[in-house]
Amino acid sequence: MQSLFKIALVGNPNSGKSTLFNRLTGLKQKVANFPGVTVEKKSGKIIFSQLPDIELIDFPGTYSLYPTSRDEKILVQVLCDPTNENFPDAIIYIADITQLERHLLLFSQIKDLDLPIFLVLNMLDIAEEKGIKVDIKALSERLEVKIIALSAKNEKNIDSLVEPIQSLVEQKNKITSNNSGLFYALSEPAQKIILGIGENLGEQNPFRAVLIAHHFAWLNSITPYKKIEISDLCDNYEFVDLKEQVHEIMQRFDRLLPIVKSAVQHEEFDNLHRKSENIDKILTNKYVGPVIFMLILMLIFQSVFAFAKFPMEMIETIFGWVQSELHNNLPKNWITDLFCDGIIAGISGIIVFVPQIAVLFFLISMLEDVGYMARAVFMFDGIMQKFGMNGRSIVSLVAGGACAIPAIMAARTISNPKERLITTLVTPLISCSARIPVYALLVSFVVPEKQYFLFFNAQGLVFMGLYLLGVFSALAAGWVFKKILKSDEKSSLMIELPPYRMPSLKNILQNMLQKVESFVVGAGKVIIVISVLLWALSNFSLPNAAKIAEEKIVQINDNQQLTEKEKDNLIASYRLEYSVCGQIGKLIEPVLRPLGFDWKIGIALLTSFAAREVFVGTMATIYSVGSDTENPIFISQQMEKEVDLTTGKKIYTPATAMSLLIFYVFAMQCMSTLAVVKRETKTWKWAIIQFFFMGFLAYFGAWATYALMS
Amino acid sequence: MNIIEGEKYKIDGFSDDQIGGKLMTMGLLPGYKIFIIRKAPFGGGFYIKVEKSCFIALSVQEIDTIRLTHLS
Repeated sequence: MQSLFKIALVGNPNSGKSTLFNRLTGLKQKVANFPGVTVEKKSGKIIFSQLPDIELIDFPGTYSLYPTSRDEKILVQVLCDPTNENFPDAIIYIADITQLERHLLLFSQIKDLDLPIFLVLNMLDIAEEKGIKVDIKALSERLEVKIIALSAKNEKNIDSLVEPIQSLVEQKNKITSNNSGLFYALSEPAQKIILGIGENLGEQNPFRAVLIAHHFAWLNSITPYKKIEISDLCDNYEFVDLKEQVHEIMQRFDRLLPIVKSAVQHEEFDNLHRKSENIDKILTNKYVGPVIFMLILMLIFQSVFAFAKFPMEMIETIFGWVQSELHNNLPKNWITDLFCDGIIAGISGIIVFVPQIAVLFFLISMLEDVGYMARAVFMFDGIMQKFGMNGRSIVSLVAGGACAIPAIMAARTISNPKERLITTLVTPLISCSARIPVYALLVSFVVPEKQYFLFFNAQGLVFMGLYLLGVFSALAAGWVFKKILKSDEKSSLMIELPPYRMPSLKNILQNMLQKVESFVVGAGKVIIVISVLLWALSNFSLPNAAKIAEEKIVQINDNQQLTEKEKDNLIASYRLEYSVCGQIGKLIEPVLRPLGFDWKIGIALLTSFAAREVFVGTMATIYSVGSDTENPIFISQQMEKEVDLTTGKKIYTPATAMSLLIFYVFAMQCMSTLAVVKRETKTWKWAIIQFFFMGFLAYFGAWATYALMS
Repeated sequence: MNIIEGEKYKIDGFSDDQIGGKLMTMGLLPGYKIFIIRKAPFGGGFYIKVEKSCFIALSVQEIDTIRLTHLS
């Protein structure tokens, strides 16, 4: 098979690389992994129709070819191995025109690898705004590369890349030899090692030989046997890794800085940063900064609820309508039931989260685009590290107050794998919006409505206590995981604080769409499968269960005249009792007894594994108030009346209700979240561990609560 | 070394290969001056201005790997 022409998009973090990538590939992007590692590889076809098909690969942003994190190592891994399936035929290098001093370091390294390349200088708009003038022609001559200056945020500029990309393609098969030698002066050991590796591995490119001498220990393309030989070579030629690295970087800067200096005219350099510095006097102030951050988060939180509420209700109404219409118009059989109550309900369960995810990611992307997120990371890094996480984790934890799904997706920005994993594992402990209906239903059994403690409504206090319990347990769990999990990568703050700038709406929307799409596609499949499974469990009943139910109803009907509606509700209730799900509920009753739960609660726990809010609906069905009247008041009246048949005592005592509440604070009852965890960690292992550690907390938390209160 | 808020320092070198290498690629080169703008709350890191270049946040552990001379 003839493979596509491959171009790698390379640049520093904060160079606008993702923006350019989005512009060049449109929405036709593919997200996969680089082979053998869980580093996301984004690729896509370049949109220009006048060009042949070209695959553009977006490499993780990095500062140099001396990588420290796994993400950054990918670029070296690929560039050191021309046989690698992702080895590019050419390179587009993107740099921030206002940060040329630093952004050209990696460029000078990449250029020494002798691949066809051109340079994109991004953020032209900001440079013009700040009075920075760059002599592109002079820079191009001295760096010996074609340069295009543009602003990737502005779509119109992208067309200027057609011609340079075209010429990259034409350069294929032409051997580009380096006439002018490497960009920097080699040290003596480096010259020797180039010859040595050239002989040993047949490596033609001198700089690639140097890179191999630096990184051979973790390069996949070098066989273990060769590793020993290269190690010996390094010893013989006194090629000392760090010393050589410092030498090279200093040499490169020595040549780069004068070039940049002569080509770039700053009107007043410090002006660029002065505004940001002044804003940060307040925003990152030791005392005021965290308070402002909390206020911003509260605002985000409020907006998520305010803006997502209406569309969510719309979605629920529309799906409810579709379900009942289909029920009325399709033949009454199990296929219709499966389709309406299993599949359609499953899809609705996914779509209903979309407004929250969209609003949340819109706001988070906006803060990111403006440059505020880096400041929050700076402020909270210290405290979060004590709990095994990182400054960036705070964003996930707070987003988790709305919904764990987008919150876990936000953890992607954490580069240290251990800290990212811990954040992913503990975020669902933060009470999300799906727990609210459950809390609301049960809290009235713990404290009566009009009871006050000092000036506070007692129910409100219990509510707040549950939320705080969630936050506290998330931090505590983080601390425990920090002790248990091993990591070879150091925690790293080291983050650039870019100057504040106006956000680009298009960028934000694209980012938001991507998050929504990846949620719907990625988590969606699993959710539908589990929905169907749960539907089956609660609809397939034991043989002659229907008969028993019917007989019972006839019996009751003889004693008291039931209306048609009451009869339907009763049938639904009995059907659930004798379904596989109901039988499992009875089967696990002994296990739930110590928590104060009976088999009916058992059923509700099972069905709400799909999603917590299902608890209320299941309760409605069990207490046969009819699932169409999911009015909490009716349900709680029915629950109030419920007595234990053997002891004659009430089931929903404060102890049971509190125990159940604690269970809901801790338990991982959200298949969407599990699906997302699986997707983000790329293995079921962590989703399963998460399910069990949270289940363990839930069970023993509820048990202790019940034991203490009864 | 005790890093003081509001003070200027000159970078002499690095004591950790990995972190030092990374810091250099981010533009913190030996000989450059850095200005400690402020400390983060909760015992966190430092908000640093690098001479003629950029703002950067470093944790206490990270800044400890830089050999610095205090400039008065």
